[in-house]
Amino acid sequence: MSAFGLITGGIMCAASCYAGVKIKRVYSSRSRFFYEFRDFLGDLKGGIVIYKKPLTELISDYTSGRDGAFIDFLKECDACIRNGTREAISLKRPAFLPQKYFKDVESFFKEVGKSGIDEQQRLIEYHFNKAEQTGDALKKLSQKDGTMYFKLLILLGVTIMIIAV
Amino acid sequence: MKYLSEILPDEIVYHLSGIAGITEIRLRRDRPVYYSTGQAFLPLTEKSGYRQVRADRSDIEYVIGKVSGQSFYVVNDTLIKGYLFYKGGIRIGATGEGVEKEGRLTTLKSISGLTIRVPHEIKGAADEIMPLIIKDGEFRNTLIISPPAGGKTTMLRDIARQASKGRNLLIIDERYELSAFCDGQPLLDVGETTDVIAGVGKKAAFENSVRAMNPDVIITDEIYTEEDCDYITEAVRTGVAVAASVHGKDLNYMKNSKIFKILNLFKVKVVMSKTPSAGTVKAVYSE
Repeated sequence: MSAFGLITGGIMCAASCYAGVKIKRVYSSRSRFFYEFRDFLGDLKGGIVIYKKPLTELISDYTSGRDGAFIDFLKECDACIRNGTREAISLKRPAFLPQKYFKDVESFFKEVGKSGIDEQQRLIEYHFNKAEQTGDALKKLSQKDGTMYFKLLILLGVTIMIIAV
Repeated sequence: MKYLSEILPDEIVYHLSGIAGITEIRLRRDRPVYYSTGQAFLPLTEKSGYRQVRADRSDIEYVIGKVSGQSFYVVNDTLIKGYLFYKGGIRIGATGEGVEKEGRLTTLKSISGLTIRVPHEIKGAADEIMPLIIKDGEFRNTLIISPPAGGKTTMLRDIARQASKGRNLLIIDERYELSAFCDGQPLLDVGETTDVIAGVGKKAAFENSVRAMNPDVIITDEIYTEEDCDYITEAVRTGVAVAASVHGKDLNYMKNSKIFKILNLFKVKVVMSKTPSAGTVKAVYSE
């Protein structure tokens, strides 16, 4: 057992364990993003359908005092909407979210606020249900694949350590 | 131009800059942009050459977005009644595909055209007729008859400005055009002693504000229903003088209109015309 081998093994073990933790976090971030999107839509519906408050005001009120990846994304959307540059929302996809999941979120923020109350209500309700379904699907995936990758990488890290030692 | 530049796309603002006295801009999807200065109605051309500036779908969506605060549903009800409003008294009409529910228009979609009207303040527009309107210190009931875009609102505004010296005036500004009411104050000069009630129909204004504000003179734009006539009759009966406007091309035209029954209430009738330019006083009838 050399000191060099011990240190190298330790670093690789830590890296592998860290990668495992990171991957699990990415998986759980995806489901959390959609649950937070769903919660936002629930809040937004009342603001639009009942109170008819301006969209940017509703978003500002919602993001005030909150943080997290979804809130950061929502603030970026708010800026695009205010500037009349909704097309730029395509570029605001969070890094942990694959495009196939993001496209629905993107289409919502490009359309919200552009029509009358009835259509807005239908739009919000459709995306509310979609967000919940996507969140549930991603949560299952997180529990299955995310946990699997986490365990595999921890195991790999321990194996590397053992070999190094 | 300041408020126009807040709602129009940058390209259109650039090509409009330098043009004085703009009173109207028309955006039609995939067609040239047109503008009016009250004397001419012209296509907008690029500064660099003779090519016409065209509006497309994104330009129309841009304007609607800016005017509505990116929240069309907030202004939907106002739009289906006729117009959107913006700061500075800017009024925006829209055309497109109507959506009906149970026989009622509920919203407008696929908006294909916008007419953006800019209020035009001309101090002194009423100089010629003021001596007839105010005689021996008394404000005489006055009716301005004009075709659309003939200058009646500009005339009424200047009447208010000049008549407010020593009198309490109340302007009923249903569509925000007379006073360009914004954030609690009129942006156009309607006189020092003039109160404004904006954004409410004549019924509510006459029933509530007239009693509460105790004006000497009421100024109101575009009367056209029998109810409007009834409110004016009642106001005059209580001793309040009235200056109002109505769409029409001449006095004979009024004989076939709903307001014919109250024509005699107005001691001064001013007929305006768009030719040779908006604001032309064609005839004045004074008793």
